[in-house]
Amino acid sequence: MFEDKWLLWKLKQGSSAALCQIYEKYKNTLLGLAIALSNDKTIAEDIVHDVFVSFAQSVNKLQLRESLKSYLSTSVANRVRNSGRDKIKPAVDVDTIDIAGRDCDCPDRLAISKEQARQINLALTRLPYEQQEVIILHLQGGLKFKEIAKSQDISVNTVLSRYRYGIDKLRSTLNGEIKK
Amino acid sequence: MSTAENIEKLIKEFFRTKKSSAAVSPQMDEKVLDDALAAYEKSRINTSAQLQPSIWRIIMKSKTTKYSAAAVIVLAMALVILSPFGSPRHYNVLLANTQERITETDTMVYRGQKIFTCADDPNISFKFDTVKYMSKVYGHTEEGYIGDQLAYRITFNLPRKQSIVVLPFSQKCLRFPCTRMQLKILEKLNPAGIIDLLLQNGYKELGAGNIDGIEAKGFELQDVKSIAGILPKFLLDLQQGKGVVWVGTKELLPIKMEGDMIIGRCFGTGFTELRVQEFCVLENYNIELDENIFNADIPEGYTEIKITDFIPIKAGLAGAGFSIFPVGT
Repeated sequence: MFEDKWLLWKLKQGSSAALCQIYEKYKNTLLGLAIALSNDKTIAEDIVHDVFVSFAQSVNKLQLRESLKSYLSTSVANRVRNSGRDKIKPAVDVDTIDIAGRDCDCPDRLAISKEQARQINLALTRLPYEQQEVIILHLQGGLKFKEIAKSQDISVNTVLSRYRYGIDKLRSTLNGEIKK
Repeated sequence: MSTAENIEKLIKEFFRTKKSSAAVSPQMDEKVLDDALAAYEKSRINTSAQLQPSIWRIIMKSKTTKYSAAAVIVLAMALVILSPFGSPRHYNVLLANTQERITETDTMVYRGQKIFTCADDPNISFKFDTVKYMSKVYGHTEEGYIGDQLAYRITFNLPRKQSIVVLPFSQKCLRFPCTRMQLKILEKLNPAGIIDLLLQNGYKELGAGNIDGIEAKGFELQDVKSIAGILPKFLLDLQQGKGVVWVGTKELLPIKMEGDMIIGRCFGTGFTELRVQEFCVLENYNIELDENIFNADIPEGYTEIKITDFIPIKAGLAGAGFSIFPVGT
C-alpha cells in the first residue's frame, strides 16, 4: 500500500531501478488510458513515452498532492488535451479490439459484441471532450471524482455534472441500440 | 439497458476489453526506458551540481546564514522533541480504535521533509529529507538529509536516557542527558503515544481524504500553544501553527502527519523569525529496527561540543551576525 511512496522516495534517492519498477507497474494502464482518450495507438504510445520522460526529468522536484497513479493518469490526460486529440474524433477501429464475446465465462461481467463495441465507441467519441475525459478517467483509469477534480483544478460538482451528463447522453444514444 | 448503472457496467466492460488489447510492445519498453533513464540521470547530475555546494557555501560563508544554519539545527532538535502534534480532549471512535490498534505496534518508520524558511528573507530556506525511526524500546531517531548526504542525526536513546545530535558536515556532536520533560514527551512520540496525544486535546475533524491511494480521515490541531511552554520562550518561541494527522481508516494507523509553525525571534532560531513546515508519511511499521539506529555514543572521529557552547556571551552581538553555534570551529 505504501509501495508507490517507497518507490518514489527511492527514485529521489537515485535508484534508477525504481523508475523501471514504476514504469512496469503503470505502463499498460496508462497506454490503455491514452488510447481511450486519443483513439489512436501511435499517438497514445508517444504520449506515454513523453509522460515517463517528463516524469523522470522532474521527479526530484516533484511534490505529489495526489497518488502517483492519479498524477500519471492526469499527465496523460493533459498531454492528450494539449496534443489537440480532444478536438479530433477519428473513425474507430474496433476490429483491433479483442472482444470477449457472449460466451465469456465471467458471470458478473457484461459480455459485449463487436457491434456493441462499435456503438459504444462511437457514442463516446460523440460526447463533448470534457465529459468523455471524466468518464474515461473514472471508469477506465479508476480515478475518484475528487482526484479528477483536484488534478484539473475544478470543483467535484463540476466533475460529477460532466460525468452525469455524459452517462445520460450515452444512455439515450445507446438505449434501444444495445440490448442486454 | 435503460439504467445509468447498466450503462456504467457496459462502458467498464468495453474499456476492460479495450485495455486488454493495449499491451505495451517490447520496442516501446526499450524506447521509453532508454529515454526516461537518460533524462533521469541528466536531471540527477544537474540537481546535485546545483543544490548541494550552493547550500553549504551559503551556510559556511555568510555570517547571517551561518547563524541561521546553526539555529536550524538547534530548532530541528527542539522540534523532534516537540513534534507538531497537540493534545485533544474530545472522543472520536476512529482515533480510539487507532489508539487500540497502535498499542500493538512496536516500531514505526516515517519519511518526509522539513523546511525552515526565514520570515525576513524567504530566499533563505533549508530543506531536509527526513527519516524518523520510532521504537517503543529504544527511543527515537531523526535523520535529516540534503540530497543523499546526512546533514544531522538526532537520537533520544530511551534505555540510556541520553540524547545526541550528530552533525556530519562539521564532524561535531552534542550529547546531553534527556530531561524528565523530554522523556515524558518522548514517551508520547512512540507509536502508542502519538494517538494518545491526539485524544487529549481539542481538534478539528477534516473528514475523509485520500493519501497516496489510501482512504484516511484527517484531524487538525489548530492551537499549538499547549505545547509552547515545554521549552523556555527565549529558547523556542512558538507563536502559531497547526498540525494535521491523517489516520488510515482500514490500517488504523497515522499514515501522514503535517505541521506548519511560525517560531518567533529567540535564541533557538538565531533571533530570526522562522516558518517551519514538515510532513512525514508512514513507510513501515512493526519491523525490526537495528538497535544501532538509536546509538547515543560519539561516532569515531567526531569532536564533542558542550551544551554551554550554546550560551550567548553577548546577546546583542547576535543581531550583528555573531555566531553562537560553533559551526565550522
